[in-house]
Amino acid sequence: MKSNPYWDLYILAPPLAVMIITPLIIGSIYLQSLMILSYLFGVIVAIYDFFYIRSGYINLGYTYMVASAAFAVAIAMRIHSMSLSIPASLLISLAMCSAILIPMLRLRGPFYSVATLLYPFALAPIARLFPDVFGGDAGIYVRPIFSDFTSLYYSSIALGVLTFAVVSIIMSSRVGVILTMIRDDEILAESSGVRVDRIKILSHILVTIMITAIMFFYTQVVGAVSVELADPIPILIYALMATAIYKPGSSVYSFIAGIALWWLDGLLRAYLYDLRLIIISILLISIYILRRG
Amino acid sequence: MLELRSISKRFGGVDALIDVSISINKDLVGIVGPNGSGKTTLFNIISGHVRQDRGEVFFMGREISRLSIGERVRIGILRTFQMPKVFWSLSVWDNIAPLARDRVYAVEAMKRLDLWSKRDLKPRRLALSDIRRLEIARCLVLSPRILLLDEPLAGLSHEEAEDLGSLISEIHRDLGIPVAVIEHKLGHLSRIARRVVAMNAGRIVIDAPTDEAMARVREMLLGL
Repeated sequence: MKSNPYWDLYILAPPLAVMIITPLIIGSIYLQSLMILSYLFGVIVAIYDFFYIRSGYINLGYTYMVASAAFAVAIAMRIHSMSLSIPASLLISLAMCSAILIPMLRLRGPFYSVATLLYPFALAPIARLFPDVFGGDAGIYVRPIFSDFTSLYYSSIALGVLTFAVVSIIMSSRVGVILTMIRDDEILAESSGVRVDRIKILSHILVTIMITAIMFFYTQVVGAVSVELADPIPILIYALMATAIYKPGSSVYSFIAGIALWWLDGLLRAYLYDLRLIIISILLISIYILRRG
Repeated sequence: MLELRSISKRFGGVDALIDVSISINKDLVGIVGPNGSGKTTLFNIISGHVRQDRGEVFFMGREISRLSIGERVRIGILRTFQMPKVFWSLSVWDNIAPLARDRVYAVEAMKRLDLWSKRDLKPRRLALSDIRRLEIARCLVLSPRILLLDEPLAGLSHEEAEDLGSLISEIHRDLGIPVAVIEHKLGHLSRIARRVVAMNAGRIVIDAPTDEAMARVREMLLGL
């Protein structure tokens, strides 16, 4: 009996309902901003889970991709025509993220993971080296596009839903099955005629496009981009924790866990800043010991 | 069709293959020999999983030594593995169907290998004989021009080995493609192979029609 690949999507309904009614009951733009940032972070985690954890390629350079996409959007937004800045942001993002393809196409397992981990660490010095492009330590101010916050808020929600729809379609498609084949046994996949490199490049391009779209909304909410985004701690740690809460590839659960962890981080920063890393470390270890799947 | 010329391969200080030359045309060829004699290394070199130190591999008149595993699959060199290799988290159907150019081929392969009724099961719920069949079905949907089967009968009961042996023979006959089978079960092999190649310590020591080769293998085994 085949399970319904869309079943898990029903779990999205409660958090989506909360997101939709929030502006109606909470007037504070600050709280709405936090809600939308946690939501976008959940979507970023879900993408990470589907494309990297599910495929068995633990990309520890994911925060480099997230930061690159944000910078790409910020740089492209300097162009005043939206019809030019959108494709420009995609092109810049694809160009910057293509650097990850070097280890992706050459390395496997822990070698791949460690090699990708170097990327986020490299971004900060590069950004400081070219302050005219990346804005130096202060970062880049992003020009607002949306006339009011409500339209930005609901557009962000729509983007998240669209991302899940795309991921669900891919998951149940031939490409999704082939991604599972590569995760199960890359050598066997290659011995079965799967063009492994082509699939890796295709999924990398898809991830880059999705992240760039998300970072477009993220930068609109935050208003600026700085190299702090590339810091693997805590974003990468939270992403890994969120994906480990349920079985790998269960993007919907990772999405919810991502939102919860984002809020937890905010609370820890506000009230237990010095103990933050210790608490997160204990949580991370506990999750990996107790995790299912 | 397939020709190996003076192939040598060393792993560390051990000679896995020493100056091996062999050609396989339309036959169903059995490859026998003790463990460590170089049988699987020979398959690995043909399929591109291992690169030879010396020598050349030709397939359909083309030198293929520099081709990747995937490129060799695409020209029709398909293989199974000594330890069963399938996609464990996918159903029988998903193990095969996404690889086929057309789903019709997947249905046909599953029916031929008697897997159709088990198409929704994950490999962990299958018997070993069905997993072996699944491996062969995976090869069939990829339009093979040569099949390399590494110990397909290992671990099977007498009846299961008999059935699968007949099926391999049938596939060879129906598709008209060469099939090379590494096997330790000499009795089963002698019923399906037309030619037997025996290897020992990285060299081919016998290459003859089945009856003659088996007689010489028995002589060697009994020390006559």
